[in-house]
Amino acid sequence: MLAGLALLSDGRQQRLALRFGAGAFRDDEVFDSANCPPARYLIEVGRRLLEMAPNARRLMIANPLLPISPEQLAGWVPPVLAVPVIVSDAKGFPLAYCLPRWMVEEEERFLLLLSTCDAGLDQRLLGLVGGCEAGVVGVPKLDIGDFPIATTTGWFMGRGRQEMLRTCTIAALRTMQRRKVWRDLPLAAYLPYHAGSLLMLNLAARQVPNGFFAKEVICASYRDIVEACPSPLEPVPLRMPWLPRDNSVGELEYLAHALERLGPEVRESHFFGFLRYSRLYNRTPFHLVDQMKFALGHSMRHETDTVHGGQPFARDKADLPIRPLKLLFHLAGGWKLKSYRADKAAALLMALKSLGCELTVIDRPDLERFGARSVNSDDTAFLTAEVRAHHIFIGVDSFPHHFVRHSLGWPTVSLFANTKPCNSDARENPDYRALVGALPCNPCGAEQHCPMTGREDCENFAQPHQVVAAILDMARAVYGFTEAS
Amino acid sequence: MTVRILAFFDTAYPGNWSALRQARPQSRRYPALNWPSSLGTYDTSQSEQMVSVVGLAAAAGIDGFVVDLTATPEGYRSGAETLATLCRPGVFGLAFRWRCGRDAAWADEQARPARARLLIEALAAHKSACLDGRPTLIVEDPVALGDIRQATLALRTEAAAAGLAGFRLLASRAEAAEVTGLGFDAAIDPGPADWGSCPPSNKPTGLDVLEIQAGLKDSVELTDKFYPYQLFIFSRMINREARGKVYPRVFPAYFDWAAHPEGGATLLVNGDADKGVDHYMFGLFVENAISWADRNFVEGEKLVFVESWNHWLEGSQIEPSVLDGDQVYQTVKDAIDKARFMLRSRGAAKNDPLDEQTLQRLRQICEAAYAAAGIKP
Repeated sequence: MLAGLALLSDGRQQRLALRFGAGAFRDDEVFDSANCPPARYLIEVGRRLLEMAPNARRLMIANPLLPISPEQLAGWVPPVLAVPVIVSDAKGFPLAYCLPRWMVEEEERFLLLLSTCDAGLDQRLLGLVGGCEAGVVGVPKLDIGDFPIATTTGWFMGRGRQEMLRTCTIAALRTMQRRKVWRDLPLAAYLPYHAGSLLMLNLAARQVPNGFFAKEVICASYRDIVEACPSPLEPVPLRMPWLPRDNSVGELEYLAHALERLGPEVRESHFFGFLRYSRLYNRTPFHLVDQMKFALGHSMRHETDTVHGGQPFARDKADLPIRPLKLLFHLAGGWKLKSYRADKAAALLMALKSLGCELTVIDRPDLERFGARSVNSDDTAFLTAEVRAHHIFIGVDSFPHHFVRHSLGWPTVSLFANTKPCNSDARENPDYRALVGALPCNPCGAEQHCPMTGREDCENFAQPHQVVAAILDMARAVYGFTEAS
Repeated sequence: MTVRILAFFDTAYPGNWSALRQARPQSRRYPALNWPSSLGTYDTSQSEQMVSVVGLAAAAGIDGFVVDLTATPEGYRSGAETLATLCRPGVFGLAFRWRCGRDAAWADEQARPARARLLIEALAAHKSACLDGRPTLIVEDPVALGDIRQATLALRTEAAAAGLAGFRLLASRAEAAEVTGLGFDAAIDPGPADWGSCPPSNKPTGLDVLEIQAGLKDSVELTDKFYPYQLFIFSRMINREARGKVYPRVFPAYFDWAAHPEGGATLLVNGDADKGVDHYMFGLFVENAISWADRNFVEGEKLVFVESWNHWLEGSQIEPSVLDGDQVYQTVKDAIDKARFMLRSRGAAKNDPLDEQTLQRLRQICEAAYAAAGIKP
C-alpha cells in the first residue's frame, strides 16, 4: 500500500508498489515501524525508487497514509516538473509528492519534517528546502474526508495525531524562516515521556550511527536512564513531568506545552522529528529497538538487521553464592492488564518461598505477606543495585524488564500477557525466557479492563507453576542451581 | 523445520460450485455465502488450475492440504490425484481426514477389518505426497469408531502392512487424554459444529418459543446455534496446555446453514454482515496458535490446522473471494509471516524443558500455595 513512480528523462515511468512487511523481508515489502512519522515511509519509497531507477530525474511518491497504487499515481503526474509539486485532494490533504531527484537524495532529513496531512504547510517546507516556489496541483473530485483514528493498513493517525505532525512542521518552518543557517541545525527526536521507549531509542541509536537525528528530547527526570544507557543522541532536557497515564493531558496538548517549555532558544536551534506512534505498534512483529532503528534512518531490509538476529546488547550475571536463590520481581506494569494477578503472584511467591528462595518485589508492598521483601524503585541506580543483589529478575512488560535485560543483560524471566513479547523481549537463551499464554486476543490494546471478561487482569499470563519451572530451569542453566544444591 | 500449517481442502469441485450457487438462506440471520474471485471456479482434476491453487497456498506459507477420504461402497476416494502430483517433499504435502461418522459401511462391525484395509490403501496411494513423508489420518468423530482401541489397532496394523512408515493417527477431540490412551498419537480441536467451546449467544425465551410457533418470529433462534466469534476462539485457547497434545484448528468464520435446510446449523459469525470477516482477530488467532504450537510440541510434531482453504459452503474459506477480496488470504499470509519471523528470530537457543514429573510437582506446590494463601485459583 505504498507506491511510487520514477520519472525518467525520456518520458518513461517505472512503477513501484510496496506493502508493509510482516517478517518475510520480501523485496516488495517495507519494514513496519510504528515509531516514525509517515514521511519516513516517503523517504523509504524514494530510496527504493532510486535503487530501481538510478537515472530517474524526478520521483512521484504517494502519501504513505493513503492506499494508492502506482497506476493511480500515473494519472496524477503534474504537467510542470521544474519544481517540487504536491498533488492534493479537494481540501488540501496531500495525495502525492513529485520531487526532483536531488531532493530525495540529499535532503532526506528535511523531508522527514513533511506533515503528510497538510499540503499548504508541506508546500512551504518544500519551497524553503528547495529554494524555489513549490507547487500544489489539486484533484478537485477527490476528498479524503476525516482520516480515521486507525486504518486497515495500520495507521494510527486521527485528528490529534495529525495536529502533532502539523505542529512539528510549523515549528520547522518558523526555524527555517528565523535562522539563516538552518541547514546546519540538528534534528531532535521527540519521544520524551515513556521510559521504555527512550531506552529502546537509545539502544537503537547505537546501531544507527549516521541517522537523521543528533539529539533527543527527554523529560528531565529521565536523565538517569540516559546516563545508565547512553546513546550517541545528545539529550535535550524537557523540564516537564511525564505525560500522565490517565489521559488527563492529551499528547497534542503536551507537545504544545513542551515546545513552549523548551523556550525560543532551544526551539529555534533544533528541528523536531515526531517519533511517537504513527502506526499501531503491536501489529508489527518487530522489536521496538528495530522499529526505532527504522525511524532513525536504517532501511531494515534484511532479517539480519534486526536485534533478534544479533548478539544481546549486554550479558552479565550475579556473583553470589548459589544458595539461597535470590529472585527480584517486578509484577506491576503501567497498566492493570500488564500486572501479574495478585492471587497468582501469591501462589508464585509462596511456592518459591517453600523451595527456599529469597524474594524481593518492586513496588508491591501488598505481596509482603506472602514472604517477599518489598522495595520502591524509581531510579535506575537503585534498580541496578537491586538487580545485582539477585540471581534472576522476573518482570512484566515494563521499563524495569527492558532495562534489566537490554541494558544490564541480567538473567531474566519475562511475563507477557496482553502485549506481544516480540515487540520488547530478547532472543531466547538460557538466561532469557519470555512466558505468555496462547489467547488469540493478544495483543488487545486494552489497558484497564479485559475486553473479553471485563476483569482488571489478563488471563494470558503464564500460570504460577510455569513461572516457577522457568525460574528453576534458568537457575540450573545459568548458575548450576539444583533444589538439592 | 518449523510449525507446519495445513489447510482443509475440499476436492469436490467443480461439483460443489453448483451447490454453492444454488444455496439459498432460509433466514435473514444467515450470512451470505461467498464466491471465488481470482482463482475462479476451478476443477480439482485439472492440473493447470491446481497449480494456481497450490501456488497461492504455498505463497501464503501453507505447507499442505487436508483432504477428505470419502467412503464409497468399493472403498475410499480422495479426489486428490491431481493435487498429489503437485506435492513436493519439504515444500507442500497432503494429510487426510476420514469422517467415520458418515461412513455407513463402517457401521457394520463385520466389515470393519476390510474397511480399515481399504482406508489405508487409499491413504497409501498418496504415500509420496504426504507432508514430510509422514502419512497422517485425522479421524473426525472418533466415537463413531465403535471400539476405538480395536479400530485404531486395526488401522495401525494395516498401515504397518502397507509400509506406511511414520503413520500418524489424530482424533478430532478437545481433550488429548480422551484419545491418546486409545491408540491415537494426538488430538486436533474439533470443528466449530462439533465443539461449541462457549455457550451460544442465542437463548430463546419462552415468549420467543411461542412467537416462533405462532409464525411471528424466525425459527432459527430455536433451531440453530449462534456463537460470538471472539469468545468462541478465546475459549478454545485459554489454558490450552491443560488439554494435552491437541493441535489448534483456526478458522475465520463458520456457518453451515447450507447443510441444514431444516435447522440445526452452527453459525460463528466473525464481523459485521456489511463489513465482512473481521480479519484482525482471525490473524491473531492464527499467529498465536502457531506460536503456541511451537512452544508446546516437539520438533516434527508442530502442526496448526486452518479451517479451511475452500469450504465455501461453510463460509470458512480463506481463498480470495468476491466479498472479501484477498483480505482474509492476506491476513493468513501476514499471520504466518509474523509467527515464523518470531520463531526464527527468537527461538534458536532453547533450554531443555523440565521433565514432566518435576513440572507436576511444581504444579502441586503452587496448588498448595494457593490453598495456604486462602486464595481460590
